Amino acid sequence: MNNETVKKAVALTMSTAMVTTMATGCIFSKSNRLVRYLNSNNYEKAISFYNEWEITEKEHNELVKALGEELDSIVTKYAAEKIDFEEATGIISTINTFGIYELTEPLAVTSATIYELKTSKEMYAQGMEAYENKDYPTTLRCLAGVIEKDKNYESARETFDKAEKEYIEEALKDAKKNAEEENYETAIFTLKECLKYVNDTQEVSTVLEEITEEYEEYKFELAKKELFDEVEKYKDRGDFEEAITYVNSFIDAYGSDDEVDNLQKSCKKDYVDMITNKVEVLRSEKKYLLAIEMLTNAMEIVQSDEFDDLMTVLEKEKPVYLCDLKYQTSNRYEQITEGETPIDTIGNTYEFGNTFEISSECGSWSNDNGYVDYYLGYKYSRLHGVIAVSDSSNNTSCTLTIEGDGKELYSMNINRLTTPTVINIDVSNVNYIKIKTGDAGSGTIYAILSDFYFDL
Amino acid sequence: MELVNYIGEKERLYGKNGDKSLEYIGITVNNSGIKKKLYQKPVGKNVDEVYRTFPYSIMITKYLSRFTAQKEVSVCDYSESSVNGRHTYRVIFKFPRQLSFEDSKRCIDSFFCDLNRDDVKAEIENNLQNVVPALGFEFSPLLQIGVEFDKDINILGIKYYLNLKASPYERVEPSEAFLEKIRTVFKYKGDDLYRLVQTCRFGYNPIFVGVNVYPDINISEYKIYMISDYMGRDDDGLLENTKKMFSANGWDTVLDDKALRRIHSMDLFVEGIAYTLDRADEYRLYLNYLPRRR
Repeated sequence: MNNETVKKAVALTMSTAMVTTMATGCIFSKSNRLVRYLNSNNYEKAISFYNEWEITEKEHNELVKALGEELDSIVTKYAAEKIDFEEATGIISTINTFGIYELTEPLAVTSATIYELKTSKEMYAQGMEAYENKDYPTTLRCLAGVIEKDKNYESARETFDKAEKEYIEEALKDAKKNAEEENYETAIFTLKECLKYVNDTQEVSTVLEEITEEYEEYKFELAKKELFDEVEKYKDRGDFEEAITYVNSFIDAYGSDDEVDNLQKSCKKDYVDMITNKVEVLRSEKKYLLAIEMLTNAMEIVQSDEFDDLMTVLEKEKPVYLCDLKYQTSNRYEQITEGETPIDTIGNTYEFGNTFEISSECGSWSNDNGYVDYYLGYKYSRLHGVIAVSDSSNNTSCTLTIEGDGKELYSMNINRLTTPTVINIDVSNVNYIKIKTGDAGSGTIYAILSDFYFDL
Repeated sequence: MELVNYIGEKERLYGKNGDKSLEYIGITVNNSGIKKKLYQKPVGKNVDEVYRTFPYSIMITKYLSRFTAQKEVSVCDYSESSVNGRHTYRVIFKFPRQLSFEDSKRCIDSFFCDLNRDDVKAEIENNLQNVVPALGFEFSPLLQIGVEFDKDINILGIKYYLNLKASPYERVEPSEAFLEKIRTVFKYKGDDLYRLVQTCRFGYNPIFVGVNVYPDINISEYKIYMISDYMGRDDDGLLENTKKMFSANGWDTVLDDKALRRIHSMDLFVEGIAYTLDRADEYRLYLNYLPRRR
C-alpha cells in the first residue's frame, strides 16, 4: 500500500468515526474522557477532572450511563483476566469517590462480584495445584468453589470430574485393602471422608455399608472369643453369677447366635445346680432363713422351675421364726438386719434376720427396760432359741424373763460372763408372750436373741 | 464454733480418754443466749465419801447425815460453785427404783426436817398426789431431790424430779392424751407443749419432769425431759436424723451440720432434750456418748 492510499484510508476511517460519533454522542465528551482516565489507571487525574467539572444535568445522566457500562466491563475484563484485581478495585474505588447516588447499587454489586471472582480464581489455582499433587479432597473442595462467571469454570469442571473419579477409585481400593487386612476403622474412615467430597456417592456408600457390616461381624467374633475365654475363667472359679451377668451383657451389646445361646444356657444350668446344692445343704442344717434368702437372690438372676419347686419345699418345711411374727408393743427392742455384725461377749457372731437385741439401761437419767409382746394365739407348742450377751454391753447385769400371759416361763440373769444359752420352752396354751429385761445395774446391757423359732 | 470447741475440750479432759468423769454436756439456749454446763459424775460413789468432802458447816453435815441415813437414798450429784462471789453447795439425792409411796413420804419428811420449808414440801406432796392418779403409778414417781445452799445454810433452790413412766415396762408415748395429763397434773395452760410431740418424732420419749423451786421468790419452774430411744446400731443414720431434727426445730443456728458432724466424730450425741414450760424460747440439749461407745 503506498502513502496516498494510506492517507485516503485514514481519512475515510476518521470521517466514518466522526459521523458515527456525531450520531451517538461526541467521542470527546467529558464522560468519555473520564472513562479513559479510569481505564488508563490514571485515578488521581480522573478524580481532579471530576471535581473541576461543572457538570450539567444532561452531562450527569451521560456520566451515569458511561460509568455503569464501565462497571459492567470491569467484571467481564476481570473474569477474562484482561485486567487484574488491583486494576478492577482501583476503578471501583475511584468511581466510588465521585459519590454518585445512582451508582450506589451497581458499585456494590460489581465489588461483590469482583471479590467472588477473586476467590474463584484462588480456588481454581489451589484446586489445580492439589490435583497435580493427587490431593483429591482439596482438589474437589476448591474446584467446587469456581463460579460460572470465571473463565476457568469449564476447566475446573473437567478437572473436578477427573479428580472425583480418581478419588473414588483410590478410596475404594484403599478401603478394600484395609478391610482385607482387618483395618476396618481405617477403611470406614477413608470411605466416609470420600463421601464428604464426591457427588457420585452410590458405589462408595455401597462398599461402606458392606465393610461396616463386615466390621460388625468381625467385632462380634472378637468379643465372642473374649466372652468364651472370660466365662471359662468365671466357671473355673465357680462364679456362675458373674458368668451369667457377663453373657447377658454381651447379648445386650452385640446380640447373640447359637453358640452364645448355648453358652448362656450352660451357665444358667451350672448356676442352678450350684445354688440348688448350697440350698440343700442349708436345708439339711435347718438354716431355712439363709436358704430362702439365697434362693430369693438367685431367683432374681435366673428363672428356673427347680428354684420354684425348692422354694415351695422350704416354705412348707421351715418353722415359724420370731421374725415371721409381728410384735404388738416394744421398748429397747430391735431386729438386726444390717449394720455391724452382732457379736457376743464370747466372740460368736450372729446372722442378720432372725436376730434381735433387747436391752436395759441404768443411767443418770433413766432406768429403761427392754420388752416386747408377741401374739401367739395358742398356736405353738415350744419356743427354741439362743440367748447371748452382746459385746457392746457394759460390765453390768440384768434379768431376762420370758412370760406367757403374765406368768413367768423362763428367767435368767445375764452379764458379760454369760455364755450363749439354748432355750427350749413350753409355750402351749400361751396367747401372748412377753420377753423383757430389767433390773440392770449401772450401765447398759444388750441381750442377743438368736434363731428364735416356734414349733407348731 | 466456740460451742463445739468447748464440747471438744470438755470431752477431751473429762471423757473416756480423760479422767472419765464426764456425765453430760448441757447446752441451754434461750433468748438471752447460750449457756454451757459440764455435768460430772459424783466425786465419791457413796454417801460417806461425799459426806467427807462436804464442807465445814455442822448444820449441813448434820442434815446430810440424817437424811442419807435413810437406806433408800444415795447421792446422785454433788457440786460446789461460786457465782458472783457467793459460794454454793448443791447435793442431789437419788431414790431407788420402785420406791413405795410410804418410803417416798418418809424420805420427803426427812429431807425437809430441818429446812423449814413446809411450803415447798407441800408443793412436792401435792404434785406427787396429782401425778400418781393421773398417770397410774404403781410406785412413787419421785426419782431425785436436791437442795442448794450458801455457806450460811440459806436455801437457794430445791430441785426434784418426777418419773413419767408409770411402770418399768411402759414407754411414754408423746400423744395428745399424754399432753392433756401433763396439763392436768401441773395445772399448765400454756400452748407450747406441742413442740414436745414434734421433737419426739425424731426418736425421743418423755421420761421425767424436773421441778426447780426458788423459795425466796416463790417460783416453781417445770421442765419436761425427753430421752433418745437410740440403741446404737446405726450411728450414721442417727447423725442424719439429728441434722433433720435441728433443721426442723431451727436449732441449726446454734449447731449446724458441720458442728453436729464434729460432735458425732467425738462419739457424742444428743441423748436428752428438755423443754421448760412457759418458756417457748428455751430448749436444753444434753450430750452424752453414743450408746455402744461409752
